[in-house]
Amino acid sequence: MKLIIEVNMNNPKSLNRRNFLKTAAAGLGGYVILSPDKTAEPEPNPPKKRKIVYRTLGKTGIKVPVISMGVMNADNPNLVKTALDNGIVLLDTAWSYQRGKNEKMIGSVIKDYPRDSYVIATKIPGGHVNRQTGLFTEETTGEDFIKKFNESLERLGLDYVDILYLHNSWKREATLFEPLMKAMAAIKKEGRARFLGVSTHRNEPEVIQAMIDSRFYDVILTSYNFKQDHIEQLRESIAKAADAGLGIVGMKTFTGGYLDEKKTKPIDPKAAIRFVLKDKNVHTIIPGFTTFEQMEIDLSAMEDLTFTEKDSELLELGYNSPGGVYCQGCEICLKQCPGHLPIPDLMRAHMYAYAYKNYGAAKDLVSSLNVETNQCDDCSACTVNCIKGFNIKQKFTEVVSLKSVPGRFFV
Amino acid sequence: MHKNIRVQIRIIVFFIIFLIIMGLFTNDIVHCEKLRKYPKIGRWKPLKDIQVYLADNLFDYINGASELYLSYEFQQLDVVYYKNRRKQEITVEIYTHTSPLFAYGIYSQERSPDANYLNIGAESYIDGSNLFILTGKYYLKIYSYDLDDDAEAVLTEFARSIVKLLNSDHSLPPLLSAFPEQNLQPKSIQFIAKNLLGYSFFSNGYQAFYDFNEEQCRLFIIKSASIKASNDLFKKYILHIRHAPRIPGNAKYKVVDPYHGAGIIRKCERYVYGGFGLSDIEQLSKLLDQVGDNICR
Repeated sequence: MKLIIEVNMNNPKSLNRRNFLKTAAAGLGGYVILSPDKTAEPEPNPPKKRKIVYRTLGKTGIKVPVISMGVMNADNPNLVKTALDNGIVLLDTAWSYQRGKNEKMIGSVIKDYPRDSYVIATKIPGGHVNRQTGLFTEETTGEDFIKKFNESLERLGLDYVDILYLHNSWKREATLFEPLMKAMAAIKKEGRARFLGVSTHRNEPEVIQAMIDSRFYDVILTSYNFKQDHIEQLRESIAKAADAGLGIVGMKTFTGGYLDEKKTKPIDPKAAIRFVLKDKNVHTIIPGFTTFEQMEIDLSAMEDLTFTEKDSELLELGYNSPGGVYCQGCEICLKQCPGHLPIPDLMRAHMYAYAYKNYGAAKDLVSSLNVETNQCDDCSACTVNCIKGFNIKQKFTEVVSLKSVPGRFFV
Repeated sequence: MHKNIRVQIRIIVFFIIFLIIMGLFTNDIVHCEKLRKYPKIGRWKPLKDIQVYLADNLFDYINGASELYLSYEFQQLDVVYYKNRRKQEITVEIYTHTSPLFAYGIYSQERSPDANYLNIGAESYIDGSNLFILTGKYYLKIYSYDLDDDAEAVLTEFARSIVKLLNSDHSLPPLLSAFPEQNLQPKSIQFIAKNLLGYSFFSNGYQAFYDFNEEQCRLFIIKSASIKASNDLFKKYILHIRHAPRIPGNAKYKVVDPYHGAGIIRKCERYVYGGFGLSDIEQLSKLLDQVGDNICR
């Protein structure tokens, strides 16, 4: 037997999805309509005023919120609509996601929005790759790349995309593979892609350096998260790329979603977002939210992007590779040091010297920092409590001594 | 003496049980990690290097798309390259999931409704020069390159051979038949492992899309493990949209979901089901009546 509790809505047509989303999607409000004699009808929450932080995507000049959407795993057009209605501008997809259905789904949503209200980035695979070397084989052709790109445009229902990436390069040679660069240049010349880029998931510094050297690309889509052991090297590469005018888009911010391999400790998403976005050279990130709740959490990170000591604890930065050489650059130490030492830079120099054995680079860096060799002598005990447990005073003493070593010894 | 014999018998029994248990485990291990031997198909020979990807390195093969596969309990991917004398190439990818339902889930996420459907496996179709098959807990993708006019015949031959090798059940999830056929978009019924409708508490459910004039409507069904679990799920949704009504045994509510707009959600026995997207709520209600008739017996 079915018990029916149902009433006619006054004007259901006025509450179609589109109109409703326009007025109420920003909030989490919703309501159940029962018969008037059963209960009062609750009002939906008023639309939420959201703080949006924008950064400019390098020389492209595109202004985007620091939170964008990696649409990859979303099969839900209403989620994409809600994201756009909540201020998200950049949607990131790829030719290969869900065998093209991801692009089609995005196409079904954006057809209702003005073309200048969103930014579409898609990725096209280069072709045949030797998986051991990461290099393209002879079978890889520009024609094939263009054919796939045409499919993407058709699925999206667009005349052009804003950013076209070469999908997943981890080698300099692959990043600069001429047939693909020619194909991309032709697409850009025809006005079918406004800007060109490369996505990279590993060996990122090499790919980024190749992109800088080429002066061909406009945007980098790179892995960037608090778990990367080479985070300092990556940060440096990104800084160089940003200086060169490249737009930087971060991905893999949540690095799998858990702190531990057994997946018992979920990552605090806001802390992970703030870890990446405290680097001003990262212009936006593309978290792949698949629920409205996740979207709300990710967007709310923009309320305050300050990376705090609490964030550091939540991400267990102090527990990563204990005794390791990598400073995660949390910068919490900067407030603790009465001598105002540039500790993250000094730790990077220490890493160059003692991990990479690149004493020349370490000396150059230390010399550029304008620190005195006896600067720690003023404090009887070090007041810096490094979250990674580094003995700052000891490391400072070790690395600053390089200043007095003549450069010729490092050649 | 008797005591010694009893001890010996106990040791022997223990040893036999141990062997049986080890045998079971060994079977499992072999089953999970065995390298299948792929047959020669017509004039096509498999290359010796078969690539095997597991959950922790699937990303190396399909990049970011791997996350979706992992959410459907992906277990193993075999990539087999075939070549013929003319050096033409065919690539066969065999994705193994933990169950036929999860294999259907990822397959349904990717299938093309407009493709040319075949009668191989549980479901299969040719899309361009490629063929895709669902069979048991396996999702197969067969890619051909430059085969010209022969492509369909060669792909079909490959499909039949590999399906035979995998020797699986060819049935589709039974709950697919709960969705009314009229106005149903072809091949639009999906099994969603996580975050159905964009809600983290809605998992392991089905959704289907319907066309009514200019509107697209979505129906969904979630089967819970028990009536209590179903009641809890229903309650959770209602609470989520900021209202806490008394939950009757079998109920149907008109709701205004903050993200999906006006719709109806119902519950009966172990099922929570509903729909969104039709401005004519009575029409939606009738559609859901049919779903209810199919599942609430």
